[in-house]
Amino acid sequence: MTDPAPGLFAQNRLSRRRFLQFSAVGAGTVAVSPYLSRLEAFAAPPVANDQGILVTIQLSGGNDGLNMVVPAGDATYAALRPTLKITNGLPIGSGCALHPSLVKTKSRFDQGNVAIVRGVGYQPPDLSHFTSTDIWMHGWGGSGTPTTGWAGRFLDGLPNTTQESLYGVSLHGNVNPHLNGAVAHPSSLPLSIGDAFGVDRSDPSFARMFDAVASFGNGASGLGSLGDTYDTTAMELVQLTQRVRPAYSFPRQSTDIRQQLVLAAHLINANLGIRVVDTSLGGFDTHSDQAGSHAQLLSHLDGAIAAFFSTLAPRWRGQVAMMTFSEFGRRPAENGDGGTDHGAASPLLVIGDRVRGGLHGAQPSLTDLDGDGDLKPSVDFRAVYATVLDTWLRADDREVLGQTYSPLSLFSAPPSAPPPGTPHASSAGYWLAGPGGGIHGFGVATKFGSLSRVDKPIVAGASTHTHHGLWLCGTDGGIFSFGDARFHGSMGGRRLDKPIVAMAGTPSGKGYWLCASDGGIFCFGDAKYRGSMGGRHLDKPIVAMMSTPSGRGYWLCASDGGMFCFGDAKFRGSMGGRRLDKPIVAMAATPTGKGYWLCASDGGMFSFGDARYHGSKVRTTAPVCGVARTTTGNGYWITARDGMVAAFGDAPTLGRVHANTAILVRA
Amino acid sequence: MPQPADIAHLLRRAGFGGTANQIASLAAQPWATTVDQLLDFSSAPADTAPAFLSDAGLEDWEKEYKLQHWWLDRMATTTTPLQEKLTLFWHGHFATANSKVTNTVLMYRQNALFRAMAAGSFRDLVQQMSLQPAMLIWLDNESNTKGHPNENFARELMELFTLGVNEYTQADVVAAARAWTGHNTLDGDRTQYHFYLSRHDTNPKTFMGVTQNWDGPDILNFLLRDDATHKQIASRFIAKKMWTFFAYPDPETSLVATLGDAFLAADLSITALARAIFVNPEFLSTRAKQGLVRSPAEWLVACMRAVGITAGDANPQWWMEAMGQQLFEPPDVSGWRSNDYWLTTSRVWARANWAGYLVWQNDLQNTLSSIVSMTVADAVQHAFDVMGIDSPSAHTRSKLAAWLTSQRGDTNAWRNWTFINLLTLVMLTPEMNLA
Repeated sequence: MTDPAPGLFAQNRLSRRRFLQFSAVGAGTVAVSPYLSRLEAFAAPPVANDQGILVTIQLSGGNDGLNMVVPAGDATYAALRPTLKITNGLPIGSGCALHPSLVKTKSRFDQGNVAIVRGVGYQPPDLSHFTSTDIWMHGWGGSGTPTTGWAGRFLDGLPNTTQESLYGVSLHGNVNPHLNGAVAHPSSLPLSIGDAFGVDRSDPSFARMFDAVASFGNGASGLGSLGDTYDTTAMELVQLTQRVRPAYSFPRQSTDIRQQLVLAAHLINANLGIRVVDTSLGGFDTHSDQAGSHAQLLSHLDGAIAAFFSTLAPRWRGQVAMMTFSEFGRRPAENGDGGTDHGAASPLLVIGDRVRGGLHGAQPSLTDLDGDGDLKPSVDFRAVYATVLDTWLRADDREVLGQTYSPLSLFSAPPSAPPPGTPHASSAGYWLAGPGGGIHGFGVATKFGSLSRVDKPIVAGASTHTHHGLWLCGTDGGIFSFGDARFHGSMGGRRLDKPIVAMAGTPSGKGYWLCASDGGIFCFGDAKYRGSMGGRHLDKPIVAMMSTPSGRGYWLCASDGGMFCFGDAKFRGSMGGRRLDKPIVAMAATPTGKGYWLCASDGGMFSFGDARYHGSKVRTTAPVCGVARTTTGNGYWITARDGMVAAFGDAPTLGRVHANTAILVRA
Repeated sequence: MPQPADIAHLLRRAGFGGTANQIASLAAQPWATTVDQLLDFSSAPADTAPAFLSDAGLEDWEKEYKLQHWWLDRMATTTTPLQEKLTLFWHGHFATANSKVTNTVLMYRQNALFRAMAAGSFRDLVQQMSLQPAMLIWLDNESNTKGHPNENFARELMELFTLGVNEYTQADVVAAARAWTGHNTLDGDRTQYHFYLSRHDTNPKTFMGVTQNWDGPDILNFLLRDDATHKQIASRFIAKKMWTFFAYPDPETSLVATLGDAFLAADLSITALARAIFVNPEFLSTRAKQGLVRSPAEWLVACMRAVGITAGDANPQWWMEAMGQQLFEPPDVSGWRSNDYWLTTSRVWARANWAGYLVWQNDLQNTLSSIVSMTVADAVQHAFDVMGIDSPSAHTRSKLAAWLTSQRGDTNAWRNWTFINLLTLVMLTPEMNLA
């Protein structure tokens, strides 16, 4: 396939009216009365399959681009950076190397999903943080100075933009100038929501109070434009609460930028109409002791970008691009403090599945510096914007930027959802858990941290089927709950005759059963008791358990393939009386409840009722220990003790671990 | 005699709001007398370093939030509120963050300097501030040495602290950086300033076209004392910024010139500039009265004062970052912005979250309990009175009345929700959130 030129996508571009607002010297700005236009509720349409979403990451303070994308092969570099030179960079070709903190970004680069644009800046450079940040954010190449920002002018052109505050969102508190349009009004969302104001409307008195705050925005405040703005903001926060809260059910992340980017991914997954998400990481003004602090900042950035993409639902990966930017780079010659002073041109990263990975733009010369000793730009930052606007956001870049810039070839294809027939990648996911409490999420499964210690080995698990909730159970019946899975009780502290070996969640996600090896059943939450093997003789121990789709029954399965049915669980056959080479270790039921699979430790699969066989050849010598079907029931994953995961039928390959593994739980 | 509404406006801007009694008594005397009384800091409570700063059992982060509490409480209870407002202004102007300084004792010393110099000279303030370890560490001058100049402090001193952007060249930054070499912290003790002659660049430097052996303090004396051109630039730069803090942003050039000239005529006396702002007729314009949003610190203090709670009980430190303003942690060296900066959805949300929390602290939920026997109109007026809202808009009044009528109509609701939720609501009115 040949790569289309950027201009090829231009015929799809939207044609729009634009509202530009300028501050002429001495003239007042046009007052827009926001409350007038926002009286009727409007929610953005879902993002269409061919629309692009942009995530910006501001590296605030002036990122030392020379140590992020290192001209490792240039002898002058080492001379200019006697103490700060990076000697253990990750080679990316053309004599360049990435900072060693950017390990995950490096593998993304190797996969062809990271465009590194070198030498980005403008002439003449301004060395003030604040002036240069404004220049980048205004992104204007025409005459005069706009009061609006380049992304805001894109948002201005979206349908009903005056009524929709989720087209553009900031996740760092500030709504920075680049998001400001003449009529668009992006919102700023908190990093966590918890029991925040407006969330819990279950008590009418509280719902009434929230609505009273919202009512401030209904009509003129009588206190001038700031009063109007305050009132409409108060109204918006109450209205936004209910719209955005589903995106917040994920655990607290380890760094602020990671929290921002994981939230960004969840907001995109929720399909609220968001087109631009702004995030920010500060601390790059490294005038002194740069080595350690810069390494840490880039490490946080690296981890956050990886967390973003692993949280982003596969369905969106073809429609999201990420771009970093910073107000300037830093001076090539280090100062005497183990730091660097304000500089000029610097590289930036554009990341995504539709990005044309590799090096773009010429590396500025280290021997031909400007009068201040700074790098001369080879790419105008507005040329990067023009490319993003034209190719990715399908906007009229000349209109937004006030000038025509030669586009770069930063994208291999325009934004597009995965082609139909891509097997369930958007909704598929699972967790692998080890006996010691290690937890790894794949696909849509929320990433939870591993347990630091467990008293007894983890043997069983269940999920709430929201992708965000997981229970794990130890042999002692101890329960660990994650995400939206609530704790409903455990066998902790109670004596068990036999160890717990299996568990099943109820369809509501509000309860679970635990099953001991002797067939004893323990019910929690809304899980109802439907009978057990307690007191009855078993030839072989129980090893697996599944709930029926209604939750009004369950199957227990013994290691010899014997099946025991309770409640509305129907018998569809068993291995009882048939010789097995290896014991049964796991089971899965079909979505209809009219069939099930039994899985043996050598990977042998036995299907009953409407369960179809999709294969079972596994490439490992380790014993198989778990099975889970896909949501359709037209496929399944099998996992083994060594962390191997094999996918069959419509189950997508989502990944494995190299660690001791006990169970696989579908998200 | 002045109008009570004007006095109320003055007390909100030059302090954290006044009571009905204060407003009535000050309305009975000339405006200038009131301004002079506000500028008289002789009755200020003693400013001694709080004991917890030397408590070896506390981590620095614990000391930091205690220091935030200490200052918020001082703002809420002081007899010289304008002195605290000026201290807050200088904190935003010489914006220094403990995240880098990592020593609350040094942050306190800087804070005490801002307070002590509230009635002093701007030039003296900058000179002393420049040599305090908090600033030496914050902008890296502690390691600015001969042969290895660090431009960080030299640049911001001109761009953000004295002149404004575009009033100097990069060559001036380089020369000034060399002039400030050797003004470091003491080796082995970063809490002490020390001048190392051996690390000072004594070679000639060309700064603003003048070639001589410049020393750091000479740079400031040149800009703020000896060179009339730059002294005027500085006087207008500071005048504009202080007007923006007390009245509204983006004042007309002519107004800035008037204020700057008064500042200049008083040889950069800070109280002279503040007086010029408060006695200017423009201060009482509608544009000024509707021109500012309360910063989170100002709003918190106004709420704490109204309901009589200390920061130790109100725990604002859990919400101030989300509100956008953590004291002693400005976001960067340019400090906080104003107005729309505070009005993003997430920041107003944080105010709402704190208000929702506050009403449960120390039986505050009974603050408005007397409204149960009042008419709706009286109850709403009572809530305004308690919060010190002297002239609420008809709009806000009608929204609160509509809510209270509806809440009272819900016979299943717990009766106390009326006065508990009214307290939350009145803290979230635009009147309470505008300055």
